[in-house]
Amino acid sequence: MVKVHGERRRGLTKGLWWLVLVFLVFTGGCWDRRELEKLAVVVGIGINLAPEGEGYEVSYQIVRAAQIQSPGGSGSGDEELRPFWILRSRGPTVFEAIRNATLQSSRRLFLSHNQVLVINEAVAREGLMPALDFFIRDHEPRLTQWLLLTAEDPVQIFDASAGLERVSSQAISDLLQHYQLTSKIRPVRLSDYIALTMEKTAANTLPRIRTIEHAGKKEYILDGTGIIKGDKLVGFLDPKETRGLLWVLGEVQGGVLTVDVPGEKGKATLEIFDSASKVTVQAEAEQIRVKIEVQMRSGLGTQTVYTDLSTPDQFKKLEQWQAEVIKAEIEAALAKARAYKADIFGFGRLLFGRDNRSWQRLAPDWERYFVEAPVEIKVKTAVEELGLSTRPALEL
Amino acid sequence: MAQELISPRQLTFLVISFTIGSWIVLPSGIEAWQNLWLLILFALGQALGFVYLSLFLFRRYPGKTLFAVHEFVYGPVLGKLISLLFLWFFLQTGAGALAVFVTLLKTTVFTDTPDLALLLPWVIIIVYGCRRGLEVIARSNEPLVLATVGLILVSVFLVLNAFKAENLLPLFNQSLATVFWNTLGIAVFPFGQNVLFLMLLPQVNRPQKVRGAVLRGMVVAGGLLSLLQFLAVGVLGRTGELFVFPTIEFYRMIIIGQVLTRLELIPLLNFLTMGFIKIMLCLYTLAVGTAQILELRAYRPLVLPLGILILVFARQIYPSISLHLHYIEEVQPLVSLFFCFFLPMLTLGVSFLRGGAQQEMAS
Amino acid sequence: MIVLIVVVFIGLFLYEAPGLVAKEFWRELAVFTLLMLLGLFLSILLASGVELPYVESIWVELFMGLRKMLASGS
Repeated sequence: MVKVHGERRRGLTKGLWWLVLVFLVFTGGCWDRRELEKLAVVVGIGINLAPEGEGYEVSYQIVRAAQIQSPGGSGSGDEELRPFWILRSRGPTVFEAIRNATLQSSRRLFLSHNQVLVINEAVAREGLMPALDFFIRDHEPRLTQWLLLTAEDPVQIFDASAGLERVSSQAISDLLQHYQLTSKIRPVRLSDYIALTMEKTAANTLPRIRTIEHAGKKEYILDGTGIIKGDKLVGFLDPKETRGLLWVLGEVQGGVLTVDVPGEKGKATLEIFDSASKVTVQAEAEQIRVKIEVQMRSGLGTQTVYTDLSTPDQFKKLEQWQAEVIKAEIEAALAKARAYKADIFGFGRLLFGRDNRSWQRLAPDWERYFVEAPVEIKVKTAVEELGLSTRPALEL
Repeated sequence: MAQELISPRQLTFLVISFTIGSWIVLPSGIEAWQNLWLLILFALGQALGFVYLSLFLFRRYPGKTLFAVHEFVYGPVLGKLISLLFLWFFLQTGAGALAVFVTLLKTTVFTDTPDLALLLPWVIIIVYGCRRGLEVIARSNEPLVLATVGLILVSVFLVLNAFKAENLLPLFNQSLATVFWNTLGIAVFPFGQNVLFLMLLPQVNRPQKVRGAVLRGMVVAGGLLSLLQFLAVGVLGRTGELFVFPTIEFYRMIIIGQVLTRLELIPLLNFLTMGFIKIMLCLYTLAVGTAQILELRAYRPLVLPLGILILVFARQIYPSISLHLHYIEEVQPLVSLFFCFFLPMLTLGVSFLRGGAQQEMAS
Repeated sequence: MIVLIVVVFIGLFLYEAPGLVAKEFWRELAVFTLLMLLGLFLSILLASGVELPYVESIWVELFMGLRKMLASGS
């Protein structure tokens, strides 16, 4: 009797269970179901100040899924055939601007796959966080987006030819990830930017991008670095100075370096294999003392002189010359950083981590300590490879 | 009431998931973010002390639940009143965890879904699980814990390329007061909440192994949380302080190659299962406890209405996550300390004062 | 909405109660009914937009009040 009752009961529970499943499938899942055809997948976002009045003008590069597979749609061809769509909208805040875009776009903008945030320098001069907060707070965009500065309208960047790729944002993201081929730019993710912004004494850097006219076509090029101090753009580094910064940070993992061969009209270019750096910051009563040690390995890549550079003696000299170049690059970067009183090297962060007490003491007046700090730079280099040939075919 | 038995190993697993529970998505002690992984270890030590002492109650009165001990120590009226306080605590803990998970789902995945549509499935599943009984909860918990442990261990390899040891420095830049307060906050939540198990210990089939099982579970859970926090600080750096749900943010940062992104849904699902177990245990204890106070023969009929109460309370826990964060930081350590340490210690003290009693029990 | 809630509660009641009656669990039935009524009451209050206090707000106010009292006392 009891058993029968129990079985009936079990059947009932089972039935209820199925009901729950059905309920789950038909309710919970539906509200936020998003189908690809109903979304506008944004891969690049540009932020500019609104041309008149307050607020921001935000531009978007949205991929056209249909065109991305079909051939024929070259970068700047017929508007209909391009594999992406550029849209812009305005609003008093970035968030409202993004929502206002749906007044023009038939599909809801989907930001999870956004690759790059191109920020106009006027925005950066007024402060970046007000523009970036949305991208941190909202659940769709990711912290792994790349940040870039541009002096131009960001739309120009999205509009430029993407070269071998179909969509410029994707191409820019690839360019940034290959930074080590030149080590002349420093790619920065949104997460990196936030992390350094949280360090009171540190200054941020962001890579710059601009367009160039080439055979009647617009293309873009990564060129130099902006220095962001206290969330505001204050100055720039050129590519050489940028590499100076990267040497100190130990982020040079490739690229080439050209040295003048003294006494001759010619140069030698060395390929950088890798580098490592060790920075020590020592706090004293009224100053900090910085020691930068850089180690680097390279190989002879090409030479334009008619002297044999492949001998052990010449290698010694090459090592010395390239060490001088590296030192010069670091000093150039250091000079700029001092001029802007911006601790882009993160000396303060190091002290914060290693000697927190001293940091607490020095932080309020960090600018002064940073500018006045004696910096000792030691560069140790090795030239290890020759390539496939030894001496040049013709020696003079 | 037919006694459902679980093994000490299942108890350990339950302690692990109950401890990991909702803390993993919304940690306490975030003020000390950078040293949180260390604080977890301190707090674990502290909480092991709390729980070790509380377990003396079970030693002294083997085979009795906390509520039965209350009645024995304080007499039926006062004992029931104190038990009632604990019922409130279990209700608030369960409803709080439910509210946190619903908020998490609402802000990350189901942004346009109404609250009720998120709450209802949770409650239905929890009620269903509880009606099945502790044995079923414990058995289904085992693979879930293994999956979570596996996930946390795998994360080590996932984040290798993003991990920066520099982010861990400086150790100890907080004031002693901050460290103390936040350690306390972690010791009571999540570890101290294990006081709930005092209600379930009589249902373990080998009572002599209970103490080891509970403490082992806490150590494993503490180790896992500390490891995860260690990784999160290494990857997120100080940025982690900014986020409401830092663990999810940590998984959002993982990119492997160019392809493997948007991984956070896997850990999210995983942590949801831990939450399910935690809330289920709260509801189960609520039902069993209510049945004991009112001297009922069965707890099962109470599961459904108490589940509804949890649902209602989950909506009324906090008006916004902002208040919840404030509560966790400022108030919760004290509230939880009262329930997780002060009350059990009081009971233990009174029982010692009344002495002699345990002879009666032992016979 | 309120009608829906009442219907759901009656449904749940009818699902659980017959088993208890069959087993003659009268005490259990009474507690069950009471708790259901409490749930129903709170649900209806919520559904009809009555503003109930929030659990954590109460704790926060309690402790802030205590802190203030201690601060003024010392």
